[in-house]
Amino acid sequence: MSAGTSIWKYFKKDAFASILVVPVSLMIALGLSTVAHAPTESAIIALVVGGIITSIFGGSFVNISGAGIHSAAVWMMGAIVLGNGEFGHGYKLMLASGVIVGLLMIVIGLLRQTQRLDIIPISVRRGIISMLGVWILISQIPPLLGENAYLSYDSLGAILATYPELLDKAVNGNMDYWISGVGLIALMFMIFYSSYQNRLIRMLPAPLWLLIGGVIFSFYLQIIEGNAFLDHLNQQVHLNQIGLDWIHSPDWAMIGQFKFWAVTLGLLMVTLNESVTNLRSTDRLDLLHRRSDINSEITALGLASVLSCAIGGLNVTATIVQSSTNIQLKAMSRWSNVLNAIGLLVLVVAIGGYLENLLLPFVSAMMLYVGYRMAAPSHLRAIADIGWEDLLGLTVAFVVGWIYGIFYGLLAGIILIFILQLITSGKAGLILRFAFRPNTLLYQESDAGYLLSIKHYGNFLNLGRIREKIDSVPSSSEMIVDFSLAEFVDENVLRQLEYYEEIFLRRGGRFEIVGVDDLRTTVHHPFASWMPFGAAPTDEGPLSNRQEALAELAQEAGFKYRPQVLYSGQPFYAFQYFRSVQIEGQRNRVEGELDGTPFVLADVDYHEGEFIARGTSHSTMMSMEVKCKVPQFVLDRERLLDRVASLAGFSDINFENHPKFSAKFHLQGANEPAIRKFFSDDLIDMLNETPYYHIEARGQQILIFEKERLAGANEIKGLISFASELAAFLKKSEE
Amino acid sequence: MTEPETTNKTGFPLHFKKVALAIALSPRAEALLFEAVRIVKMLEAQLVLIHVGELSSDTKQKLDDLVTRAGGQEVAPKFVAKSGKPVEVILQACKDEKVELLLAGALLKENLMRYFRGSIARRLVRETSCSILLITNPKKESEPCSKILVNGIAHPKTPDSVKTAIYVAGKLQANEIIIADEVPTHEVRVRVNDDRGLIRAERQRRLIVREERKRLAKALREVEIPKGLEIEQRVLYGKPGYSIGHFAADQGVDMLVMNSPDSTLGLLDRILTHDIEYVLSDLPCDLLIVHTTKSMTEKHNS
Repeated sequence: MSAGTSIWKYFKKDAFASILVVPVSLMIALGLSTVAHAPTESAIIALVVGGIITSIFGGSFVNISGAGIHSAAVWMMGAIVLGNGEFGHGYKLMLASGVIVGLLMIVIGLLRQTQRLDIIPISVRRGIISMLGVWILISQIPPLLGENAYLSYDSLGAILATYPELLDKAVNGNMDYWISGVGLIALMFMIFYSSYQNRLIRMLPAPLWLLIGGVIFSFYLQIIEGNAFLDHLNQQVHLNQIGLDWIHSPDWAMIGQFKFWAVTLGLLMVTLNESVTNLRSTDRLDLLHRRSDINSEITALGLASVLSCAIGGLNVTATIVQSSTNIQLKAMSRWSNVLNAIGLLVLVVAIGGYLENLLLPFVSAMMLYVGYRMAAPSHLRAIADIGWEDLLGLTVAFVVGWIYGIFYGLLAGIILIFILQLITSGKAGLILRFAFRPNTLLYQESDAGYLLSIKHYGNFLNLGRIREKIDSVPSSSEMIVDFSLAEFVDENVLRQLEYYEEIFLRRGGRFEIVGVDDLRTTVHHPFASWMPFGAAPTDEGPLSNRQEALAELAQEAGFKYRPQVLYSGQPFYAFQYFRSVQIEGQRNRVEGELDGTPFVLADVDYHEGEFIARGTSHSTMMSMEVKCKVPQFVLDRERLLDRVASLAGFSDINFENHPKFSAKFHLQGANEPAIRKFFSDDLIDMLNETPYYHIEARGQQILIFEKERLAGANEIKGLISFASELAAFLKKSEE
Repeated sequence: MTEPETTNKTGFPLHFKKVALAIALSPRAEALLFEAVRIVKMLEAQLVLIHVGELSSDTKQKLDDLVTRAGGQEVAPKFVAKSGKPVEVILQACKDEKVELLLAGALLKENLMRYFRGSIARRLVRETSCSILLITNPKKESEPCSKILVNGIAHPKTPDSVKTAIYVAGKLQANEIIIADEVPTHEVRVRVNDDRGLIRAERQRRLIVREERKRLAKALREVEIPKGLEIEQRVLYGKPGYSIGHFAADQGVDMLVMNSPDSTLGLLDRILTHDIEYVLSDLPCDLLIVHTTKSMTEKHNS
C-alpha cells in the first residue's frame, strides 16, 4: 500500500535519473528527426508534449514518451510517398497523418481494444521491422559519409542511386574525409560499445558519448580550422530559433486521397506495435513490479500525438532506449517522464547554440546502428529456427511491405501465416470452425490458484483473448495454463506465455504451462509450434520446458526419465480408480526409488468407457510400491475417488481426536479397525500439514495425485517430496 | 414422499413424471432406448415412445422385442405413432401426451454443414415446450452419472434449473453437483497490477463469489438436498454461455444442466453465436435443458 501515498515520494530519485536521461533523449531526438527528414525541433516537440500529457493521463509509470524509431522510419517513407520527393511538403502532410493516427489511438485506447493487435504474428512484425531497419540504413549512409541529409528524394531507389556516386567520390578523393572519417569512427564506436563490457565506457549510455564526443570535436575543429571551415562543411545539426519558427501546421490537402490513408494506417499499426512492445518491455524491468494499464497509456499517447502533430511535432510513442536508461538509473514514478520533458526543453534553450556545432555524422552513425539492429540477420535466424513457415511469413511481410506499403505487408503476412497454419497443423476444420468463437476459460481452483484452460487451439488468432484473461489475474498469484484440451499451439502463444512466466516469477507468483507435450512438434525450439503430428519427442528432444524441468529433476535425484509415450497402463491398472477406465498410455514417466520404495510417476492418458466419448483425460499420477501391508482405503477431499465403486457403500471414517483432519478429508475403506490402526497420530499430523493429495491404497500399492489434470513441474516436485515423506514414514512404522 | 405438495405450489423442481423418446429401428436408437429405460426407472416416471410413421404390426413386434431387451417391460411404455415430418410429429406428441422430459440423441460435434442447417436435435431444443435431455453417447450398459454441472448465472430461470438439477442428481444418485456462475472477463479488470490494484481485484472477485452464494441460497433452501450429494459453487471468468461448456469438458462432468433459451433460436444465432448455441455446437456431455417459461417463473415468484 506504499505506492502513491505521496506524489513527491520519488521526486528526488526521478530527478536524479533524468540528469542522464535528458541528454540521451536529446541525442535520440536529433537522430529521429534526421531519420524522419523532419526539422530537428519536431522530435523535441514530440518528447516535450508526450512527456507532459502521458504523465498526466497515461497508465504507465517509468516509461518515457517521445518520438519512436519505427514510426520515424515510417514518417520518412510517408514524406517521400506523399510529398513526391519534397520533404518539406511531405512533412506537413505527415503532420496531418499523425493527427489522425493520434485520434485513432485515442479511440482504440478508450474502447480498450489494444489486445486485438495480437492478431499480428511475431514473424510478420519482425518482417515489417526489418524493412523499416533497411529503410533507415539506406537513408542514413549518405549523411554518414558527408552528403547533405536534407536532399530531396522521390523514392528509396533515388537514394540508392546516389551510392555509386558516393563510391566514386571516395575512390577519386573528392570526399570530405574529415566528415566521413568521423562518421565511420562514430559507427565503429557504436558497434564496439555493444560488445565491450568496459566499466568506464559503460558508465554513460552510448548516445551520450556520441553527443559529448560530437560537441567536443566540433569545438576542436572550430579552434583549429576556424568557424568558416565548419560552416563550409554544411553538415551541422540545424535547429531553428525557439519560438514561432518551431510551429508548423498540418497540411490537409491529401486527406481525400487513398495514398494518404494507406500511409496513415501503416503509421498507426507501426506506432501501436512499437508502443505496446516497448511498454511491455519496460514493465518487465520496472523496479516496483507494476503492470502498466496499456489501454490508458495508448489513449494518452494518442492525445499527445494529436497535440504534438498539430503544432509540428512527430507523433508520440512509448520509447525503449530512454525508458530502459531511466529504469537503470532507478527511476520510480511518472515524475521521470515530466522531468525529462521539462529538462529537455531547458537543455535545448541552454545549449541550443552549441548544438548547432554538432556534426551530423555522429547522429547518423547512431541511427545506422539502430537500423542495423532492427534489420539484423540474427533476427532472421531466430525466426528461421522456429520454422520455415515463420521465415516465409517474415519474407512475405517484408517484400509486400516494401512494394505496396506497410499495411498491405501486415495483411499479406497475417493471411499467409493463417493459411500455412491451416495446412501444416492438419486442423483446418477445427481452427476455421472456432476461429471467431471463444475458446478460453479461466477459473479459480479450490486452492486459490487460477487455471486457464485453452480448448481446440491456441494461436495468434486467440492470443488477445488469452492475454486478456491472464491480465485479469494478479501476477503474484499461481497460474496454470492448461493446453490438454487443445490440439494445436503456435509459437506466438508460447512466446507470450514465456513473457508472462517471467512477469509472474519476478512478482513472486507461479506460472506453469501443462499439456503442450502431448502434442508433437517438428522443430526443436522452445517456441516451435506444437502440432498433432510430426516426430514424437525422444530422449534428445524436442522437449517442452516442462519436460526439460522434469528431465533435470530426474537427473538430480537419480531417477529414470522417459518422455516418450508408453502404451501401457502398468502399474496403474492395479488401482480401483482406473477400474472402469481405459488407459491409452503414459508419457513423461519418472521411475526411481524413494527411501528404498520404488515409485512410478507419469502423465496418464485415459478415457472412460469403450467409446471415446468425453475425450481423453490427462492426469499426472504417482504409484508407489511399499513393503509393509497397508489396509485398502481411499483418502481424498473432492471425492474424486468416489468412482472407486467397491467403496461406494462405506461411510466416512472420522477421528474424534483429529477434527481438523476429519473435516479436511474423506476417508473410506472396508476394514475400519485396520484403517484406524494404520492412521496413527503421526501420520495424521503429517497429512494435516501437506496440501490435499488424493490417496488410494490397495495391497502394497499406493496411488497419489493432486488434481485430476496434468501437474506443472513444481507441483510434481511437491508430489515427490510428499511421497518421499510418506515412504519414510511407512518404512519407519514397519520397523 | 411429501414432495408432490410443495411441487404443486411452486412447480419446481420439475419431477419429470412423463418421459418421451422418439424411437426408430437403428443401432443408435437401440442404445438410446437402453438409456431411456434406465433414466425412467431412476426417475420413477412413465415412458412414452414416439414412432414417426405408420406402426405396422411387424414393426410393433420388433419394437416390443427391443423394449423387452432393454428391460423396459416393467415401465410399460406407451406407444404413439404418427406419420409426418419427424420434428413436428415429436413436438405434437409431446404436447398431446403432456410430456415433461424429452430424450434425444445428439452428436458430440456437428460438422459445418449440419451446424448451419440444423439437426433434428437442435430443432427440438429450439421448438420444444418441455424440458429436453440430449444424450451424447448412449450406451447399452449402465454407467454412473456422478458429477453434474448446472449453470448459476444471474437470471430468473436459474433457481428453477438449480432445483431441478439437484432433484435429478438425487434420482440419478450422483455424488457431486457443481453450480457455476459465468462472469465476463472484463468485469474483473486489474488495471494496474500493483498492491492496490491486486487488493481491489481480489475484493471484486470475492464480491462476485458472495453474490452468487446469496443469489442461490434461497433456491438451495427450498429444495431437499439428497444425502451424499456434495454441492460446490464455482465462478468462471469468460464469455457467458461458452465458459460452462468448456468447464464441463475440462472437469469431465457427466451431465450439464442449463436454463432454456429465452427466445427461439434461428439461423442468425448460429452465425452470431451466443449462450446455449455454444454448448449445442460442441456438446461436452449429456445436456439437460430445463424448460421454464416466463409465466412459470412469474407465477413462482409471486
